[in-house]
Amino acid sequence: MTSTLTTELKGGLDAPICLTWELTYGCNLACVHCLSSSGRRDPRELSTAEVMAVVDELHDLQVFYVNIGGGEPTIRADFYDVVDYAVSRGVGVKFSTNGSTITPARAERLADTDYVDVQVSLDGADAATNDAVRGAGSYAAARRAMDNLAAAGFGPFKISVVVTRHNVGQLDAYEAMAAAYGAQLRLTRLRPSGRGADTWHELHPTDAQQRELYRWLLDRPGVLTGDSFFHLSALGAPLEGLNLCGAGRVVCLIDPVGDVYACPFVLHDDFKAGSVRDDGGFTRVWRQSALFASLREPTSAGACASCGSFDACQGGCMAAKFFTGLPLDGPDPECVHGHGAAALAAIAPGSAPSPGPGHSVPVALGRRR
Amino acid sequence: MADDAALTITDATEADTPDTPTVDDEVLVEEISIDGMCGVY
Repeated sequence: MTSTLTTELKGGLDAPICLTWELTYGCNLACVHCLSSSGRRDPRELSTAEVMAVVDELHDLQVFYVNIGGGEPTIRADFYDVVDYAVSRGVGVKFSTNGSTITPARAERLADTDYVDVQVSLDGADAATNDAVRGAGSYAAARRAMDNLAAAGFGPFKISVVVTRHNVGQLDAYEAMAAAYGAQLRLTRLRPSGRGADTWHELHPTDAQQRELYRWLLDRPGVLTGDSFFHLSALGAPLEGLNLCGAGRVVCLIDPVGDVYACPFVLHDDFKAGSVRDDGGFTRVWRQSALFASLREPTSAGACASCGSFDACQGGCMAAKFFTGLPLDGPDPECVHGHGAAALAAIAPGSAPSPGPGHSVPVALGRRR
Repeated sequence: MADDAALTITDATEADTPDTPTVDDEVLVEEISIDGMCGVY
């Protein structure tokens, strides 16, 4: 009865099932596809007290899991205090990291902490492929972190890969790497968000590669994807997952300054629902924002109404459409039937919405004296 | 841990009565992997 459940979830829930929380825009890397255009810290970042207050709110809402990212969240001096506090309040944590700060000692401490999961980002199975996207030395840093987590007995941490046309041929190598570490492989879709808006056209997988990826995933239901490839389900049997856009329905994002967006891939004023600093806090934003109410309404198939695959792909990813300048009720830019490519050809250069200037100057990691 | 946690939703069912036909292929319990919904990175 998945369809009944899906219908229920499309209408939204009293609280998000999972919330992505970017604690800082600060990052020591400057990945060319960073969806939050991270680098510099924002002076308006939530204070430690404000962060803890939001954790309390999430506890009261019975949100049982947050996905913390950034930026590089571990550069916040209070990061592990926040993690410990969330766990103590019954809110599990998974955090995404580039691995730079995961020392042997830190890995051992993480291994001793329940309800915390670690996701290390790696966008190439070798240094050349990875560092072209994530910057010099980032492959070595990520592998050191994985080595440290494995040596500490952390358990099945996640290796998170954004699939591009340059690394999609390395899927088997990733699978082998994850197996060697006792880790879980997680593949996610490249979105034209943040700095990705400037690189998406060169990096997104080709049509042939998408088909190859679909078949590969279909054969490996154990590979995690965050349901991010549901547009590929138009190729045949559905991939694992709910195959729906969860934005504002079952997921959302809190950014470093407390603004709440429909999902991590739409950091744009058009998808900002409010702020945790507003009266009523996060709870009021989630339950009463006009934006989220509209996203929970039944969606129109629009230009895809005549396509026999709409039920399978649901028209694809809202963020991918928005940041490539396509109408939200039209095809996904990577529509497997080619409708997106045709629609993209009609978009005037420079007319797609801008993700904004972002925070694109990386911070330097240093040791506190 | 978190990715593998599952949310279990059990559909309420009415007690079977002679007037309530049994639907053998109806799935009463759904499990959603947290990783199986779009909007999480």
